[in-house]
Amino acid sequence: MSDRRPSRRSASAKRGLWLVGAVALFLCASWLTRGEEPEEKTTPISRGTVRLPTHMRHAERERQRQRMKPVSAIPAPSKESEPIPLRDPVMTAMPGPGDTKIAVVLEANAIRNSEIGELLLGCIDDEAQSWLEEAKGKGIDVVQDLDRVAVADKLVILSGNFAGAKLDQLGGESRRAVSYGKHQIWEPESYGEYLALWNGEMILAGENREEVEAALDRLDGKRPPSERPAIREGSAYGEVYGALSPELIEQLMGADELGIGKRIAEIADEIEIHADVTSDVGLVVEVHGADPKAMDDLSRAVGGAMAMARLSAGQENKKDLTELLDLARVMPDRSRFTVELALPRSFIESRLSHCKK
Amino acid sequence: VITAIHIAIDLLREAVSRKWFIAIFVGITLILGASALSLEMEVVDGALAATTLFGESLDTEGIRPAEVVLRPIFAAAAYVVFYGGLVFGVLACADFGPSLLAPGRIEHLLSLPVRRWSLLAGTFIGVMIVALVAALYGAGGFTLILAYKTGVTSSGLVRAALLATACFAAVYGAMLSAATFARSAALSAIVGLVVFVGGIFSGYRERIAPLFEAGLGRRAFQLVAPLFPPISAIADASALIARDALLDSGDLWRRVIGMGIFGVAALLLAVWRFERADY
Repeated sequence: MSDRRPSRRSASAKRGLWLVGAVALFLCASWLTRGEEPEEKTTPISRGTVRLPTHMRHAERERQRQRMKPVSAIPAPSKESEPIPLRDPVMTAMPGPGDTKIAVVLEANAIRNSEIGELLLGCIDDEAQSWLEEAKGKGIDVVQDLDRVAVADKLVILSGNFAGAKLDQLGGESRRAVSYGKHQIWEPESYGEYLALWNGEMILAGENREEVEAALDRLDGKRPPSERPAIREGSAYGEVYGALSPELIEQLMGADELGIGKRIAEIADEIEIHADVTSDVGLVVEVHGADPKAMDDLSRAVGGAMAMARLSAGQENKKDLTELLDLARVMPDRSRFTVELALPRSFIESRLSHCKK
Repeated sequence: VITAIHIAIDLLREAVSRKWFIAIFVGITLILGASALSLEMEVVDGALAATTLFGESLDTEGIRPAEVVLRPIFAAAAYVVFYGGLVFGVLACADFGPSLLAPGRIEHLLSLPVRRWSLLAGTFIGVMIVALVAALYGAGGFTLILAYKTGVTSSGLVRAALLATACFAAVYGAMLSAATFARSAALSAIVGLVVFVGGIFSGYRERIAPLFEAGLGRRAFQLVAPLFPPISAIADASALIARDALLDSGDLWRRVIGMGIFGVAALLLAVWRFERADY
């Protein structure tokens, strides 16, 4: 009996070790599995909060309404009781869609006062700063007085408050004033742009004199206005908007492997772009065409090209481009399709972070 | 250890011979087959243009890179594989422990030159192998279907299945432990489901705790929830992995190892109980 007792005790102690081991491991497991829920190492950029400019908002409609004014290009009404039709002078000065490959408007003031604008202002280097100072000395405070910048091929239109602008010395070039009707055109003495001031609110700058004269003529009603403006009134939304000719897209894309540029030039009639830069940047490219079937095929080809671009960006370890193309999509809609791109503010901030330094 | 492995192999033979178990594998095969036949995806140069499931069009948010569009699908599939696999494992394996300890059989096994702990360890290993094979079969099959349909190959679902198996170790450890206290397949399954549901709450305990009124209820929840393995935290991690998200791998490994250790701890508890029992 005395021999069996220690043996039983030993067996019991051995069994107790299993329990001790179990408790110890439970505690160890509890310690190892502690903590919050797992999260992604880096917060992925998300298109969720990015506003994509797909239509005109109330504020933009109001902005457009406030810009409408009697422009002499519009024929006087036949009866006194008829309301005087109003037009946007900037749009009136721009050539028609058939005459331009590119017609784009930047809402400079809106961009300046946006969160992205603040970031961009931080990126102004010394050279740009001295140019701004010089322009200010000539009566043009670009940061405060500039409202819009419109580009139509070789014609650039600046709108804003330029009542005190001295165009003769702008940009470090000396210019001489030449009369053109009731206006004056400043011609560069050696090289530079031809400039004209309209109503103290628009500066017209052209690579050659004819472009500036044509713009003044459109404003004065000496040339019949285009059947429709380069940018439709209903398309003036976003902080950047405009129209590109399909041929320009073909030129820009060059000889792409899939021949997308060529197909766009063949099938598309019109391409509109809209960008919202209020907080994030949302870009929408709207492609219109006459043949719904061809447009549907084209939209798939563009979507495929973007998917392939994303794939090769991933293979080349271009993380930024891969993330951006992650957020891109093509939305087919009968005789048109839109290409949507989203650049969240966090993405832009990270790219402009060097400016703060 | 070799004895335990022999016992595990015996258990696998038994699993194969069980018609119900085979029926489950046939069921998984049918689900995979139905998915393969009903899921139509139109992929153009890597972009997903349209998807139909059982003839119904699914909104793909326009034409987007197939890999990007499929991320939520992979994440959802990871949840299905993870939670579905665990529930399947609990129900399918509930009877293994009690049948091992069934009167007649256990006496026969104990008469053999086999250590008691080897019997339980062998059963545990065998069940884990069954769970692993089933999880890999389901996850691998769905991965192959999506790869065939879209050209997108991702190891995310298979990795989710492996994580689910690690969690099942914790759940099955508790089930086997319960079987040593009462030889009941029903009790074993109930304990497994309690650990499963408790594990879901445990993983979200930081979020759930504020829902309780401050005081005794919240305090009790905060004390009890950490006792369960945080299964939902691993499920979330598996979904993130399936959608190609970057995770803190050190943190994930810590939790997965913790899950495994929970399972071993439960197994030790079962061994402690089994060593004391008289058959």
